[in-house]
Amino acid sequence: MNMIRLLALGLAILALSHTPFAATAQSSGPLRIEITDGVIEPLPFAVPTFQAETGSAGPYAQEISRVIAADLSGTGLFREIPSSAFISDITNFAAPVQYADWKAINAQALIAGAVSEQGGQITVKFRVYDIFSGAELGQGLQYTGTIDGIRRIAHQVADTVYSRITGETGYFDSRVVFVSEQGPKDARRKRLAIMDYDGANVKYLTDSDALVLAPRFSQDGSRVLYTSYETGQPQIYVLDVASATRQAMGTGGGNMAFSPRFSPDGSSIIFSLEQGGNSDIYRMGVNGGAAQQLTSSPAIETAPSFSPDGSRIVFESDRSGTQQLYIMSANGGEAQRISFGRGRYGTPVWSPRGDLIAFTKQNAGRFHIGVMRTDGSEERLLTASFLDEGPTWSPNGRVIMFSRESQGETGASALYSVDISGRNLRRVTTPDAASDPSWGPLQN
Amino acid sequence: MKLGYYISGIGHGLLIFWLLFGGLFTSSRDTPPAPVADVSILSEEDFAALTAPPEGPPEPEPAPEEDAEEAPVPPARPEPEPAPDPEPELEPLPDPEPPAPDPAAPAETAPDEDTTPPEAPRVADEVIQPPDDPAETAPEAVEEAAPSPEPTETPVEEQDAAQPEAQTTEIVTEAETPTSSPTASLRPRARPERPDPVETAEPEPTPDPAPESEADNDPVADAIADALDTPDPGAGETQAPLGPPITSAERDGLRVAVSQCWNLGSASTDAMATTVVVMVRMAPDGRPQGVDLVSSNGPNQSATQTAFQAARRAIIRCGANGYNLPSDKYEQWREIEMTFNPENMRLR
Repeated sequence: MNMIRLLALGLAILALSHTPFAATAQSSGPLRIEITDGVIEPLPFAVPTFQAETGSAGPYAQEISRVIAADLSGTGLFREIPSSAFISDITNFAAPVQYADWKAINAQALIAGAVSEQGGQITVKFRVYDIFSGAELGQGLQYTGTIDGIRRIAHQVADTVYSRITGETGYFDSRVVFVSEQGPKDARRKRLAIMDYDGANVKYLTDSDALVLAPRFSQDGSRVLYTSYETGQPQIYVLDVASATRQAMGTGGGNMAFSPRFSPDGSSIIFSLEQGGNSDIYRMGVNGGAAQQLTSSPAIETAPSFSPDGSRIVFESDRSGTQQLYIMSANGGEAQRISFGRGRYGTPVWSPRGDLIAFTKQNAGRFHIGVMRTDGSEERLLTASFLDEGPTWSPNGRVIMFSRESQGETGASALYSVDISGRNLRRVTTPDAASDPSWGPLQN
Repeated sequence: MKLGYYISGIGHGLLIFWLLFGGLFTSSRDTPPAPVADVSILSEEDFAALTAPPEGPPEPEPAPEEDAEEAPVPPARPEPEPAPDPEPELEPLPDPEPPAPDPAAPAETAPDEDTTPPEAPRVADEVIQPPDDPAETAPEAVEEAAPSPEPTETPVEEQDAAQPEAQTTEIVTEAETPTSSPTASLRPRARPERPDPVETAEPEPTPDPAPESEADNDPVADAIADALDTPDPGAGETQAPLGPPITSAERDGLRVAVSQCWNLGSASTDAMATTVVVMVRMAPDGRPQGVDLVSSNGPNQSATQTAFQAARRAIIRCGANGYNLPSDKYEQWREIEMTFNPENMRLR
């Protein structure tokens, strides 16, 4: 009996002593809240003019600072705080940052830098600060280049800043090839041109003797595929960007070939070939050889685009009676329809991130640029106008550039860009009318 | 068929044999009870004398042992809790240069990450309730403490008058069974005594059990009193600074305040799909002192980093002048676990 009593006593003591102990442990837990609503606003940042560490670097420092600010502001994700609002300035690149002064003007990011020039070589040093955290974002970096490449250096700095704040790679140090247009609609002259992503440094790659269409960058940005009517009927050419030399691909064989696009590894191309009123999709080695037919439908099938891993192809087809989007293996075979909305879908382009497909949609007399998941879900229309078409992705898959043509006889085509969220629709400044953009990769 | 009879017969035979002679084996093991019969023969006084001393020492011994084991346990938990620094790189210290906080951080972060996650799921649902109970008990004890002299005096007199009568009926033989009634009478004595030591000082719980055990000479009551007393001071320590619980309005106010500065306008698409949980260390004036990443479901490190930066920026920016939190409840918001879930933001 005594043993039983002792055992019962021990259990009672254990239970009694644990009850308040548990309460103590529970009472020591932190307060918990969940935040599900925030704001979507451009992040305020400050870019004081970079310090000129040599006497001749002043103008370059000024230009570089302005290009960086324009790059970041142009994304729609950032808002530059004008220098007139600054309380303090960066007088010395190595000096500590006065966080309180930048907090006071609500600058949430600060880009401080210095530029030096010696013997035609430009050196740019910079640091990015998270003001409210009171810490530097990443480590300081330094870029070196020639004087005529200061815009590229500025773009590279902006890409780094963009990456450190947003967490994704930038797209400023990239180029766009497009069709430059001149003249009225009924007698328009077209030629290939290349420019920086922001419309600067425009250079023409072809003359305007022959009609050119649909230029497409290779994955490394060294070559451009395009369609030319030089021989009277559309044929595919490949152009070397550095030397501006071109070469016919020999894809037509007497028939019309168009809508070419490189495979991700650059070893082959896919294109549409029209034979007897029926167009199908073909694949061919970049160095020539026999073309492999990927589709064999009596319908019109064109505008193929590889997935980033090169395993699948998205294209448009009217095999169902209306123009819709389909996905098939890169080697052909059964295709799966992914667009089921109202209207007609065309010119699909796979995102470089692989998660989305951009397209042109025509419905109820309006044209739209939209995106959808690769399975056709979550379709979102980003634009609407009289004529929007030809989307192309930025290297980071965040922005889409396309051509928009205004209505009327005097209407002209221009390039626009829009964030995949549908915000920040902007016109890309070009010297002439422009269409059919193709966004190339980052150059660095 | 016969085999079954044989087996049944052998089995029953063994059973009968064990019933008849098994007691011999068991009795040899139960030799200690044999002397007990002798003791009962001797006298009641000797029996009481023998039972009282053995019961006293053994029962108090386990009680303090368990108390001693459990007493250090509660402090062991609070120790890891106060230090919630997770990762060195994400150290949000206000120091302008990151390298300074980085080296100091690892030492703090390693234990913090280990301790905070396991505690979160356990305490999450009941965090609010515990402070309520102790908060209620404390005032009750205080209220009783003032009028205690009068009520306590009256019951004591009644018990004194009743106890001698009960003692005369059966004093020693059932000294243990009536312990249930004495324990009930002992509790009211212990409770009014607790608030006094809690208010004055912490070490007072130790003197409380001593006089009780000495006065009652009841090991069960002593042990229970010890068990009750040891946690009480611990609970009293947490109860006193906790104050009233955080109201839903105060909680919502904090949520709204942080939401106003939670800007995902510059976040990547991956970061927009990343939920981060951060631990915020708050100063008594309502300003955030440090923000540490607790957990994340980001698809990659970059998205996690961006989402954490946005959360940290929101907490620090909108708390620059201090959040509007009740100062008398500081212990309840000294550490705040904030979950930033951008699921609704992606649809905008």
